[in-house]
Amino acid sequence: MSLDKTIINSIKKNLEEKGQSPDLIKLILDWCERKDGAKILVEEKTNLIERILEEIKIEHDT
Amino acid sequence: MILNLISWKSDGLRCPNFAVNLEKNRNIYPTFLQMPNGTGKTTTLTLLQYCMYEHEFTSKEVWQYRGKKKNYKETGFFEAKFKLDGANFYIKIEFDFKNKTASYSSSIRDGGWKKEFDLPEPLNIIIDKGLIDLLFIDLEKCQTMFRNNQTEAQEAIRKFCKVNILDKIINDLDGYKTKKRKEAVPSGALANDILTEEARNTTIRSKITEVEKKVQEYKKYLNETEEEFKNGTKILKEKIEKDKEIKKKMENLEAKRDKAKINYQKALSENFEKIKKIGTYEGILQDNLKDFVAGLDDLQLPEEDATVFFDELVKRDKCVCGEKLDDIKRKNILSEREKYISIDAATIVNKIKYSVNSNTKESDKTDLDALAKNIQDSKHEYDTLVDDFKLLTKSTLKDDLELHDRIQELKKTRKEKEKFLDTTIKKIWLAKDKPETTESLVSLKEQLVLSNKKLANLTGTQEIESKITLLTNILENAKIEAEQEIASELAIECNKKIKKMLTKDPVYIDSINRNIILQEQQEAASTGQEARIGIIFLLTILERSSIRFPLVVDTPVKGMDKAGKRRTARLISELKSQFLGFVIDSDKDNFSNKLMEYTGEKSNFITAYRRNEEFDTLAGKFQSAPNGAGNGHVVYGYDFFDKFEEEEDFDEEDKEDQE
Repeated sequence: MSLDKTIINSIKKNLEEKGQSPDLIKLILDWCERKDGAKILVEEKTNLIERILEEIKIEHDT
Repeated sequence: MILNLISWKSDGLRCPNFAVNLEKNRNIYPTFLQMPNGTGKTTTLTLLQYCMYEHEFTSKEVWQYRGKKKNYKETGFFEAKFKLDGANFYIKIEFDFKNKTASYSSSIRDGGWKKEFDLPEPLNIIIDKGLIDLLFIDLEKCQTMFRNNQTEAQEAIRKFCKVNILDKIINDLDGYKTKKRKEAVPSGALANDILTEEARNTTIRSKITEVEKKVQEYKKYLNETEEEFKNGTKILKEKIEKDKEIKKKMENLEAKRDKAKINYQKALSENFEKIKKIGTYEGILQDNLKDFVAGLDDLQLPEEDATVFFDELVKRDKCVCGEKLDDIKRKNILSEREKYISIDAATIVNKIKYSVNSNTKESDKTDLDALAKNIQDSKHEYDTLVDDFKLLTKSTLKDDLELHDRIQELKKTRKEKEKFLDTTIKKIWLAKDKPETTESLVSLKEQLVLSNKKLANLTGTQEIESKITLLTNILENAKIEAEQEIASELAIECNKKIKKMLTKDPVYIDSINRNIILQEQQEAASTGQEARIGIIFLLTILERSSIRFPLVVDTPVKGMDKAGKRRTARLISELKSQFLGFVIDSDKDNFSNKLMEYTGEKSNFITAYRRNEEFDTLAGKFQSAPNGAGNGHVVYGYDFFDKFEEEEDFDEEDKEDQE
C-alpha cells in the first residue's frame, strides 16, 4: 500500500466509528490503492461502487 | 513509482544551446548544476516545468524565448527526457518565433513521436501544475507557502501524501449518484419536476464552481500584492516616523480624527433611533401637520363634526348661503353629505389627527432639528480632520505620492477581497437563499444537499443518496483528520531539522494549516529564512512520500550559514528522490564540497556556461574543451565544477541582454 499510513488509519477509524464492516473498509482501501495506479474502466468502477453500496450500513448514521 | 529527469537539450532559445545529461555511469545521483548568472537558469527551470504539464504559450511569451541579436533563429526547441519506472519518455517544445507559436510533441514508451502533449500512465492522472510548481521550485519564490491566503503547504501535503485520492473517490461517488438519478427519470408530470430540479441543481453546482474560482483569484491577488503592500506601507511609515515633529502632529490628528469619527457615528446612530419611531415629526413638516389638523378642527371635520354640521343645517330655514331651504333641498343636502365625507374617510382623517397630535407632542421631547445639526457639525469636524490628515500625509510624502496612492488603492482593493473571503463566502444558509442571490459557499453547499435530497425523492433513489451521503461524510472527515495529523507530524519533523540546520538563526514552525505558520513570538521571517524553511519542508515531505519524483531547486542554500549549508548537503545526500540543484559559484563553499564528502562518487557535478575564451581555456585544462562552434558548453566532473569561477564584472545589463 503506497498510501500514507496516517490516511489509511484515518479511513479505518472513521468507518469503524460509524459501525461499518471490515469488508467495507477493505473495499474502500482497495479502491484508494487502485486510484493511485492506472485508470479504472467505467464499468469496473460502477461495479466497485455497487459492491460498496451493498456493504454500507445506513442505520448507523444516526 | 520512480520518476527521474534524465537529460535535456535546447537550441535556438535565449539561453545558450545546452545538452545536459544527468546520468552518471547510468545512475541518477544528487546533482549540482552550476550555471553562472545570465546563462538561463530560470529559463531552463521554467521549460522543465512546462515539459511536465501542458502549458498554453502566449505569442508574447514565445517571443521572449527567442535568441537575441546574432543568436536569433526563426525556430528553436527544448526537449527533456524522463524515466518512469525504468521506461524512457520524451517531451519536446518547438518554438516558431516567426509566427510566435509553440507546440508540443511527445514520445512515450517507444510509441514514436506524436504532435501532442502526452504523459505515460499513471503520471497523466497524478501530475498537475500545482505539483510541478512544488517540485521544480525557485526558493526565492517559495513565500507562497507562508502566506495567509495561499494553500501551497496544504496542497503539498494533499499531493505528496495522496490525500487527494479521497477527493477523487468522493467525486466518483457523486458521479455515480447523478448517473443513477438520471436513469431513474419517470415519464409524465414528475419528469418535468425532475427536469426543473436538475436544472436548479446544475445552477447551484455552476455557482459553486464560479465562487470557488473567484476565491482562488482573490487569494492569488492578495498573495501577489502582499509583499508590495507590506513593503510600501513600511516605507511610508518610516518616512513619516523619521520626522519626530510630523510624527507627533500626525498622531494628534489621528487621535482627533478617530474621536470625531466616533462622535459622528454616535450622532448618526441617535438620529436613526429617533427616525425608527415612525410618525415623529419635526421642523416645517411638524408645523404644516399642526396647521392641517387645526384646519380640520376649524372646519369641525371629520365625520362626527361633519354630521352635526349637516344635521344642524337641514334644521335651519335658510342655508348658509342665505337661500331658503325646502324639503327637496334638505333631502339633497343630506344625500350630498356622504360625498363630502364618508364614514371610512372620516375614520382615516380621525386617525391622522390622532397620529399628528401624539407625534407632535413626542417631537417636543426629541428635537430632530438639533440632532440634524449635531450630525452636520460632527460630520464637518470629521471631514475636516480627514482632509487635514490627508494633506499632512501628502505633504510629508510629497516625494512618494505615487507610492502613497498605490498603497491606498491596494488597501481598498485588498480590504474588499478580504471581506469576500472572510465573510461573504461563509454566510450561513437562509431558507430564502437562491444560487443567484448568494455567494456564500456554506449556503450554496447546503442548497446542493437539499436539491440532491429532493431529486432523490423525485427519482426514487433515496437509498443511494443516503448511502453515498454517509460515505462521503465519513471520507471527508477521514481526509480532514488525516491532513491535520500529517501536518502536525511534519511540523515536528521540520522543527527537528531546523534545530540542526539553522543553528544561528532558527525560526520554528508553529503549525501547518493551509500555509506554514511560524511561531508567534518571532518577528516575521525574512525571504532567506522562508527559503530555508521552504526547502526543509519540501525535503521532509518528500522523505515521507511514496512518490519518488525529482526535486529541482534553484538556489537551494541561498542565505544559509555554513552549518546550514553543510546540513542541507547531508539531507540531500540521504534523499531517496532525485535531487537537482541549480547553483552559482557563491553557493559552493560548505555545500558542494560537503556533498562530495558525504557521497563520494555517488553525486554528480555539472557546469554549464555561455562560451568565452577564458572558460574554454579552463575547460581545456580539464580535458573538456568544446568541440564545435556552439554558444554553450557543458562540463562534467567535480574538479572543473570546483575550479570554475563566475565572471566578476557580470552585471544586470549583461543578464538582460543574454536572458
